[in-house]
Amino acid sequence: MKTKTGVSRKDLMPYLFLLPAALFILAFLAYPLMTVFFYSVQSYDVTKLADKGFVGLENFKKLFADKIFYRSLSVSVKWVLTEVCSQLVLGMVLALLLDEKFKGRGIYRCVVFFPWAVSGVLTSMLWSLIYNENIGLLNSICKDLGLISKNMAWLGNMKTVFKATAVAEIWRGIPFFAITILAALQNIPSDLHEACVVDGATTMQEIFLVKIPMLKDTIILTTLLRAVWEFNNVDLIFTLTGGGPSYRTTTLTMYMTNMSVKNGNYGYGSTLAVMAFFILLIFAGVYLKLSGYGKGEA
Amino acid sequence: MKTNKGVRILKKGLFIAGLLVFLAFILFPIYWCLATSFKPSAEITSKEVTYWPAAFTFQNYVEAWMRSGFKIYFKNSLFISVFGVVFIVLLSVLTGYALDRFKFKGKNVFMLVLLCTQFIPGAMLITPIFIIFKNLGMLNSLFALVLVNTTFHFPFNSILMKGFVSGIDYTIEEAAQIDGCSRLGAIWHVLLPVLKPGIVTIAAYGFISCWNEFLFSFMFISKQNKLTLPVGLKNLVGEFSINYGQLAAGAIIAVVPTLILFSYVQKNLVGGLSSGAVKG
Amino acid sequence: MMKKMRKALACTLAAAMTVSLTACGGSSDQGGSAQTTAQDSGETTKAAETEGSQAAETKAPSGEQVTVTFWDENAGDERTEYYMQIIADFEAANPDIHIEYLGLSSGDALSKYQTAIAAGETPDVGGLNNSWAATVIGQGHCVAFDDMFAAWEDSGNIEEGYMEICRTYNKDGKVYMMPTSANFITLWTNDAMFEEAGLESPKTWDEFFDAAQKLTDKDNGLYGYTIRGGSASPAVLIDFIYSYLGTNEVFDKEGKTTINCNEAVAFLEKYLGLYGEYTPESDITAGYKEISANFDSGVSAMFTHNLGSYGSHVTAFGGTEGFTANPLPTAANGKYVNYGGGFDWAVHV
Repeated sequence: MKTKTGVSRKDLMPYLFLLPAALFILAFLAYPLMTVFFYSVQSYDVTKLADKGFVGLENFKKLFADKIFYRSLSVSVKWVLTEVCSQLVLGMVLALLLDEKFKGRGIYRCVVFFPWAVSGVLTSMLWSLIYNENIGLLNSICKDLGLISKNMAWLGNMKTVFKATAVAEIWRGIPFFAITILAALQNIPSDLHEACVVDGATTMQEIFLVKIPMLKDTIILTTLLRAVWEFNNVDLIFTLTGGGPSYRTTTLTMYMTNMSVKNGNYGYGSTLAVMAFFILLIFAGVYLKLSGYGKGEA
Repeated sequence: MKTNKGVRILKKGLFIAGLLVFLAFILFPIYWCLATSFKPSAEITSKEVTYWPAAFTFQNYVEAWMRSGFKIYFKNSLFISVFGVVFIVLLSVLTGYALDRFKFKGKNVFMLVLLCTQFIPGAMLITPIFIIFKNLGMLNSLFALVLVNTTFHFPFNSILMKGFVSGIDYTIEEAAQIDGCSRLGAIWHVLLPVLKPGIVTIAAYGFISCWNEFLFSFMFISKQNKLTLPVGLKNLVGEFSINYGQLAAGAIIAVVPTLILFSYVQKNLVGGLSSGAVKG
Repeated sequence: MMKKMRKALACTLAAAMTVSLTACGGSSDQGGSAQTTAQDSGETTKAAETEGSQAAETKAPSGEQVTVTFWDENAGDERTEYYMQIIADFEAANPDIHIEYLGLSSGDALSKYQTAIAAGETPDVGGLNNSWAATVIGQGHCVAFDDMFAAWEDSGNIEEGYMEICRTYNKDGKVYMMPTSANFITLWTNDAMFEEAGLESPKTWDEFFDAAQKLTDKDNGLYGYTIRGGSASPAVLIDFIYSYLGTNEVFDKEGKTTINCNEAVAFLEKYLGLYGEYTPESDITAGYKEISANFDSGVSAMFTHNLGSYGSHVTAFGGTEGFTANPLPTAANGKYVNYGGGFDWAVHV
């Protein structure tokens, strides 16, 4: 099978296939990322260019004493937990509903999956029209239902801003889970369902004892990916609240973006990025280890 | 028997209620945006909120398209998305194929690298990538956006593609090779046609990601006639004249292509994903 | 070389555009461009000095098309159209210059500038909002053009007071920018709401506070005033403080700032005390568009901004009736001070 020349050509083949991918990663991810690491130990503030240069671990020292860093980290944790949990639960319910056959399922599925295709900027535009204090739909509905007596500023109020932003992102995130979970559900052999019927299991028993365990790997992988994406999400928060009011929606990524892009403090912004990168890396490692991903698969 | 029937009806009721709740939640913002886009501006800002336009007008669409430059933004977005799709599909087929079909040194490392790319916050790479394109003389080039979008979106799609490829039996390629096809020939003539649903899925993913990208387009493009839709939309939020009607109309204009594309491929999406892709 | 030429040219452009904006005279025909100087440009700051001294009276090599990039930091549909018209006129008068316009939304403009500065790819001319102009100029990315300005024949048409202010934006007292517009701070009032309450438009600050209270009817979602919040709020406060104090002396005889004198502090407390009581609660993050919408939709009876929002009120009120533009209230010492409000500057970055 393997001739002398064939061996070397065959051996090279996979690398040739991967070459374009590697070039893209090197040029536009690895190299820029190295720059970020490099600047994390530099003073590089466009408002204080005279101080530009190597500062060692100064930026990291500053970071550990930075109250807003801790605060934004806790907002991040809260954000990721809220988003991933609600999206997962709602997405799973939707997927289970869609796993049943009913009239008009095709078109229904098309409609409810649609937010998946909507961008962060667009999501924020759509929801800001709803939350708007004066022309918004939410206020007029709540007033008509008698829930509130005067208009609320959902994005301006410290108590409601986080929830309001979270709902907009949940809206966009449900389809991702619903699609992946539905895909996995349709992979479950139908004789399992018949076996459940024969054994007289209730629908709830079937869902919790049969279906969900079979979805385990899908759930672990999708929640991990989503957690990372939500952690890194800036589009929506950047355009909806900009992190405000009073840091209520400033996640770590948002803080970092504002630091480098708005304040022009690129050095310290890089330090925050490096920190965020390691936090994610550790989180992913621990998560996969603890969840036992891939185990139990034959 | 009677209780059984009762339970069945209850179940059915809950089922339908569940479906309706989801539908209402999903349609809620879209309906409002649509309604707003057809209202004249006086009606939008009036204190009495109307649930449906009392005076129906297309003016917002006409103005967004003609005056606010959405015609140009639309073309630019289309350009970067189409080329982005070509690159993303090409790269993910190559990468996904290699990762599934070949055994070679460094395979696991490469997989890990692809996964790790997901951890990189794109917002942080704005300045370094900006400088790269400046040195390449590619600022204000839509093609630069194609390259960036490809870079950020092909890794995840490659992992998906690996799943699609593994769902296809290798024996069909082998048979073609025995019949005298080269390996590349076998991929081209035999594998790709079977892989079509997977490719369509990834093309849709890719198109939508490129179409929606905001931060890089905003930072790298400084020419009015090269702006993309999300940036153009954001620019409507001016300090002295926020025109909610045009904003809503612009949002609808931006959403329509994804809606069409999405309704076309969404069936594939679930079908494609269930063919083993999410198993990892 | 090319780059530098464009930079130098940009100055004259800024001047010419200003002239058209303020409608003081025709466009400047010496807007040609500058001969490149021998030194290497490299750093913008260095380039600034060489150009400042040599570029003023030179002509462009004929037939060569030069492109000047220009960023508008506060684009909006009407404003963009207006700029396009000015640019078209300018290009017609100066066929060898092409102007590349980019409109930025005011909320994102600073981000775009800071990234451009970090990457070293700034526009030739750009508008800066006066609340962050000093930051950008202080970073040394702008070019001083005193000599060019002095040599420009229409320089006399620019109000000297504005140029004075322009010189205060950097420690060295040089001119880095041209004024493009001055805002006249205006107290907009809703006629119907005032009539209903039997009030007249406030003439003094006491009347103003009084009206804010009387016009508020929280149960019906009506407020006397709407207060500007968000990141742009401090700039407005300064204007009001000096209007209240009835002075435009920001330093007292000993050179101490007057901004935190007892009267100013008392005023500020009283003014900010309006928040939540006589204004919508959302005002804490309200930018221009939110407070303007409060006024336009009849939620708030009074609103302070400048004359620039006139168009939006006409649209909202369905005509020129129903609202009034008033000057800011008169101070207790009987003086009327309009501290100037915000200027938009065309600066040469």
